[in-house]
Amino acid sequence: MNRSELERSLEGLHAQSWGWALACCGRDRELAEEALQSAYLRILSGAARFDDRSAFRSWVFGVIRRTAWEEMRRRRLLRTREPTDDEATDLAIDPAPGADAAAEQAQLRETLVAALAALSVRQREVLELVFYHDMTVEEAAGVMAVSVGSARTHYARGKQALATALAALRERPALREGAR
Amino acid sequence: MPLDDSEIRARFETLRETEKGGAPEFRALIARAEQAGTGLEYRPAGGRRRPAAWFALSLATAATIAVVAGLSVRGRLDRARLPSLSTWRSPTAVFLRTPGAELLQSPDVYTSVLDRVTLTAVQPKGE
Repeated sequence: MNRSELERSLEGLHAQSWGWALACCGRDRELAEEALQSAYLRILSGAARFDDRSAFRSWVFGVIRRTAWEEMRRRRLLRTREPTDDEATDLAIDPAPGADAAAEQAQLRETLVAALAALSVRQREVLELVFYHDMTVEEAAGVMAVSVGSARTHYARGKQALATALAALRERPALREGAR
Repeated sequence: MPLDDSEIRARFETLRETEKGGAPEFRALIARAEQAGTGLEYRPAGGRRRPAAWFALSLATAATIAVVAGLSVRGRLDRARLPSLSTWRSPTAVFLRTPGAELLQSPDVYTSVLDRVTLTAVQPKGE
């Protein structure tokens, strides 16, 4: 693949890559943008090379994942800016929900992001790849650089943990009401 | 409490739809990287490693080989200078030398006591 072909392929995947970068960066927009930019840079400069061993999308997601991890580690080391829990969740909220339906949707998203935050990294990754990006568990395993068996375990446990977290989040307002 | 796959998918779908709209523009992202001076020149497969890196790698390899070879030769010379085990004597062996110690020595296996006897011609008495 030459540079222009790579650019075209990346552009076609851009929306998905953005979603994946957000997932890898705990939905921190600024960090996700930086990670995605670095990942594109690696790919376009030839520092990361596609070797046809997997699907192009899986490979790009793998590069984004690795770059995001490095970016986060670099930030932790530099300590220039420490992300807070509030930041991790606030960007999923629609800035102007307006109608009730939109507000409900926003709440659903918020609940999902909060529930995902309660999961382990691997569980979160496999669920994002399967349900957000419509990948198979095998493809997700390729992106996560783990065995298929391991990905299946994370997938099953992740779904269980997500159900528990969502249930806990649903009960929380009820508990608050009860306390009053 | 099991969670239905379709329910999870629906929730993720909502999230995906929201986030899709917030994606930064692809061209702008690439342009920003170029502006940052990070160099977006495509390097062909053959030219990935710079000559300087190759030179440094070769130099390091040559230095390692030289050090290993030097140590090996030195070790061999040291071994050659050592006395053989059969001729080695302890530095304190002198204290074991006691008067009459030679009497305690075991006789030689392939020799006879008669070897030490000096044969002299016996003169008959009458002559």
